[in-house]
Amino acid sequence: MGAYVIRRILYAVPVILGVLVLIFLLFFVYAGGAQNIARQVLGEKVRKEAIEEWIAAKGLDKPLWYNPRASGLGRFEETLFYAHMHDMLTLNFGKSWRDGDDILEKILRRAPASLSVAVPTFLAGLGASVFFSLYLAFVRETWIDRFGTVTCVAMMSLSILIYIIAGQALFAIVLRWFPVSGYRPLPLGGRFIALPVLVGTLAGLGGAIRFGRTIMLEEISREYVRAARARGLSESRILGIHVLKNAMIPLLTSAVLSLPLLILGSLLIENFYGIPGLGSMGIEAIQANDFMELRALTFITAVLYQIGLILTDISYTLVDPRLRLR
Amino acid sequence: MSRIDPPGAESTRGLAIENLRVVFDTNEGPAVGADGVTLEVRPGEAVALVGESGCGKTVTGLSILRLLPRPPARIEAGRILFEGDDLLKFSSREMRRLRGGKIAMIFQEPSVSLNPVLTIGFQLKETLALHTGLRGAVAEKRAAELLEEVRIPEPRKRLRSYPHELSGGMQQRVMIALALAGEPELLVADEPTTALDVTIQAEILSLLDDLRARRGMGLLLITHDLSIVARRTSRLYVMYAARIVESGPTEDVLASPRHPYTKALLAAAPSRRRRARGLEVIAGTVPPANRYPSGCRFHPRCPRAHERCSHELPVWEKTGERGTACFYPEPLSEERSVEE
Amino acid sequence: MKGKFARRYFRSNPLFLLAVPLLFGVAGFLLSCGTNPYPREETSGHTYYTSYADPPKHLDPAVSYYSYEATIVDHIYETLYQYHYLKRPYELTPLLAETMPKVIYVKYPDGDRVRYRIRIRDDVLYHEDPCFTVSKEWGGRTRAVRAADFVTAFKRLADPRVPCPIRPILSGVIVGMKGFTEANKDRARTDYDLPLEGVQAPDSRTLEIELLRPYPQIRYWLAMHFTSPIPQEALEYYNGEEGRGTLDRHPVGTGPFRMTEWVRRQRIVLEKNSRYHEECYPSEGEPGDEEAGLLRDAGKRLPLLDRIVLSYEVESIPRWRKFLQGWYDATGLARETFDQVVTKRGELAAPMAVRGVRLHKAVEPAIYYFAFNMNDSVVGGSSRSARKLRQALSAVFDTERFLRIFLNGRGIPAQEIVPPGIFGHQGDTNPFHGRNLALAKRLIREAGYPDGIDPATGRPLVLTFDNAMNNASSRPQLQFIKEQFEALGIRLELRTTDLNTFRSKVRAGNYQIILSGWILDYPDPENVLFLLEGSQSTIPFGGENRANYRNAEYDRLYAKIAEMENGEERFRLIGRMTNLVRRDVPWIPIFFNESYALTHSWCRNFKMAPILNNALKYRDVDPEKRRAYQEKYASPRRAPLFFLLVLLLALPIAGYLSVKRREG
Repeated sequence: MGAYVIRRILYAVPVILGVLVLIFLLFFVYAGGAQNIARQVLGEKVRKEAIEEWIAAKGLDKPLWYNPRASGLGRFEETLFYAHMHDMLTLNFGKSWRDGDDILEKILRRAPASLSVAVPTFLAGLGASVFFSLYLAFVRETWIDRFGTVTCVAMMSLSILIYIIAGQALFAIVLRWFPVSGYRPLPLGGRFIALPVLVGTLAGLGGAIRFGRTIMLEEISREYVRAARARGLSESRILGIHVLKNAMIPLLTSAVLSLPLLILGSLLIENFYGIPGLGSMGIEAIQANDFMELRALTFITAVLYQIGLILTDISYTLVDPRLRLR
Repeated sequence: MSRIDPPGAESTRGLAIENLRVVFDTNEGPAVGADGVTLEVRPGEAVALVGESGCGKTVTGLSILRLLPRPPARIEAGRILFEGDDLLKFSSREMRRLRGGKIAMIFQEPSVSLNPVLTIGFQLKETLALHTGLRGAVAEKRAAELLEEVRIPEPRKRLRSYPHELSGGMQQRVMIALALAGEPELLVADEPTTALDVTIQAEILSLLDDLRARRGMGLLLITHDLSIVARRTSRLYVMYAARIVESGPTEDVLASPRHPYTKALLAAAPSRRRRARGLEVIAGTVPPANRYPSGCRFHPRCPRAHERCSHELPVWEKTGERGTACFYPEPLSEERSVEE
Repeated sequence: MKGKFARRYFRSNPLFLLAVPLLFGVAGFLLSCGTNPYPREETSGHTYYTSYADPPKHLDPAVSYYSYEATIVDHIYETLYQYHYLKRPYELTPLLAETMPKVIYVKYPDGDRVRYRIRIRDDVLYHEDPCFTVSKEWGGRTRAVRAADFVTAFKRLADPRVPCPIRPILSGVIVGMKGFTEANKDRARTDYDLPLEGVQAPDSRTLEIELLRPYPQIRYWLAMHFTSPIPQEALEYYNGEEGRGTLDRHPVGTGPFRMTEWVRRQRIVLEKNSRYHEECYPSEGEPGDEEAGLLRDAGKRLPLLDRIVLSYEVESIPRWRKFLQGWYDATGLARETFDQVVTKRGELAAPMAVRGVRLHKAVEPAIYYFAFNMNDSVVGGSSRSARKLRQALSAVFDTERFLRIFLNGRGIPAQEIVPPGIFGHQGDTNPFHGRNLALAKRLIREAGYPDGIDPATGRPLVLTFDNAMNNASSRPQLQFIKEQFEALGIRLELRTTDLNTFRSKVRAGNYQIILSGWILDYPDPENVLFLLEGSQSTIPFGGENRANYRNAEYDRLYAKIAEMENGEERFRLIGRMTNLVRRDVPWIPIFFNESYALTHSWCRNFKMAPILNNALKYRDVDPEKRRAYQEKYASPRRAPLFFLLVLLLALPIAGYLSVKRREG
């Protein structure tokens, strides 16, 4: 088991390095060089000297890949690429361009708000989709099943923006169950978290239930289900234990694979509901052309995604005994 | 369509299927899965139901426990009597109590019939709890006993195993142990050895035979393989295209089949070596269940078919212990030797 | 029997064991939430609730530059002068000063200088703050404002380590500011003991500011938070050491409110300053104020509110929805909601009026205009032909229609270049303004282009319109402009580029017509009239006069009004300048921007004042009225939740029944 985890972590290393190179290409090479970046950040009115000064202050005056003016290893070390890789891998994200705050500190400061929305959304989404897909599998091939499937497809075809805006209109304006927007840290801020969590959950539910139902029906048609029935087990026990435990493998995979969507969705959700988390930090960084913050957020997202995948693989082995030995 | 006279339920004990008709509603119209099936398994008796794949023997087996998926399957007519009660009239809860209780069933593929993510112990204890109410350490002990009864070594240890850690033969033994958990009076074994090696096959079959004899439970052995029914079953039913075409004491039927189909089946599977390839030797193919030919359903493939066979359904003809549905049956053994 | 069934059901179905309490738990939580976005333990009292979209970056008055910061900074810090809350045109009145400044002309060997002598009030105390523990007054909690504190403030503006955005402007006016900056540039720390020659405090109640040249506009700078007094104690205490932070985060002012809570992206709370100096609600305003109920609190001590709660709100839709529920007392108007609030005729829509909402409008001190390049050989120059051409173009553009189509009518057609509410606004009509096709056609014929045809080529005259309106949403506007001008028979070529290219073209004087705008820094006509002054020409001086308009008489008049006090003479001279612009048409003034705001019925003394940033000290609320409104428009509708619960509980039953039916 331990060896497996270590090997799995080692597999993630080249992926992370690849992401870092990609980030570098996107932010430093494709963005069109330090001059362009400086103009985007400082605005158009600024004098040339101010731009040069800014570029020097941010250390962007180094060459990209190779420094012919340095000597020895310095030719590679005194480059933007080296600085980028070194900073990222040592979690030295530097200072924000837009307000000069330490980015790692800022991320740590804002992460709790994001987590307080993302974690309940993830759990509620998983729970609700398992419950409803089990239910639809139970009532398969009845009018409830057909109605449920159509509803799921309808729910899938709506954009996240509609959920965000209409969800607020329904729950905060028509029903008036929650505050329209705002944030307070947990545990006092439960009522602020409720609406974004509800909306985030609903937005992902249609697809998740439909996927879950397909998985469940696939499992129901397996021989072991018939054998379990032949032993006299009740349908709800068969679904709730036998089928569910088998279905958890694909369900967990899809849940983790939907994590990036959860993060992406949280950009908009956090922004709209005024949650001061990493999602809205991303939006602000984009608006301010703050490459330093963006690259740190991109990197962290990639790392989190890898961690998620590793955790899924580990959770497989907990659910599926056949994988335990590998 | 003419009706077959049922053999008449002479005892209220054991299983008696009368005139069972099962129809599948498919997109291409209704398909007949079982048509006028009548058979009987007396307590403690081993009975074989033989036929090619798709002939309706598995449908019949599943009908007993009402395990056919509804829809598309629909039982149109007939009765399934067990200890005098018609199972078709049971509520679903009564049916659940019966399944794995008084009637148990095992299947062809033990590797997929066990839940891969649950331990054998869990599955056994769960079944024990359901039918005997045993829980905890008592159930654990009983589960181990059951494994021992089906001759699994180190039963205690095996309880903690997952199905994939066992061989195919061991898995089928576990299935049998699961079936025994509810102390059944009838065991329906649907092709229990088809997926297994030849040597294992014999072991499983003799295990079933022993258990039947020791526990005095009935056994309905559903198989396509005539070679395994001899000496292990006392009576035999042959099915073709959803109908029973011949029945009688196993020894007699094997010695002198009366229906041309039984004869062809015997000729096609004379040895164990060719078991797998089976019935290719019979000319023609089994007709699809939604397009059975008129008259005797075997007539397109029958070497003895007459004009009458193609439009008239042969009635069930009973001669002592034996019965057949053919206008021109093989004569009984003394006549047969003359013919030869 | 039933219990037995249930027990069996639960035993075989562990999910149900979890689901039911979970369901009721969630339902209970949902019922307890409600729409109130404020901490429940908070009693509202005379609290004013509003929102902010951008967390303030700087609270240091020497650094803070943006208007969203000013609404906070200007309630904490105070200046020598302020604008009258009600009077229009905007009028300066003393705040920390006792009277308006006394202007003294001083003769020096190297030329004349102007000295402003200002008498400072002696009854103004700073907010209580730990930085005053060193002082002996008021038990070490606070102290009175002294003239020296203004000197400190000005030294900070000159401090090379303080990123003050207006330093270049004031350095060019105040004696010795440049010198102070230079003298400190090479030191490790700025030495506040070095003198700032032009800003002196002869005694604790007298401040003297000496200018290099007459610059009456200095008074407006004395009404901006940059020049708020800074106590030396705060400067020393909040030096960023020992975890004490900096002045940027710990404002120490004299204003009507003090900051008591600031969670960057959650909320900001300003509490009433209990030691606020004597200041009263004005007892006179402009005509109509009395009828609007704006004088009901005349003479009352300020501030009227107990506290101000600002909530972080990025998006306009949630802000609007919270306003509708009564959680915000006032709001601006977003494009998304404009149609449901304001009718086509610019009045409040009926559903809003029913709720008691009131609509307020105010003209902003800003102008949008077309500028001609006066150096251009076709549209530019002072020749009769070119002038007639520009007049024709001015007389053909339908400003009203432009406003109606593209701005929901939120603006006032500009007949001149001085916005209303600013001294010098003439308020008469411009003969070449608005759509007058007959006049325009006559003018273009007189210009030598009958029906827009250029006699030199025999084809329609081609003019170019350079712009950076390169996003899709601007295309209808461009099309409108084209159609308007082409009604003369000419052709208008649209040259759309990115902002960079556009700016460099304008800087190089390489254009014929552009669209531009200007927001005034302070409410003085000089701040807009200078845009057409000759020495401000972009070519060759690189100034702000993009039209490169050069008219000797205009320049002469400008030089006069720039140094003149408001009065009849100044008004008359500005009128003459206005007429020069109307005749020469270096610009086609289009419109003055108008901003709208909505308030609830419980808001008192709400008058829009785009120039003021300290308006909240005049405002008040009626909490009882607000509570009644929230009760009506924001209390939860709980019945549907029970319906939903019943629906959820009905699921198993419906499922069971339908499965039974399926199995026939």
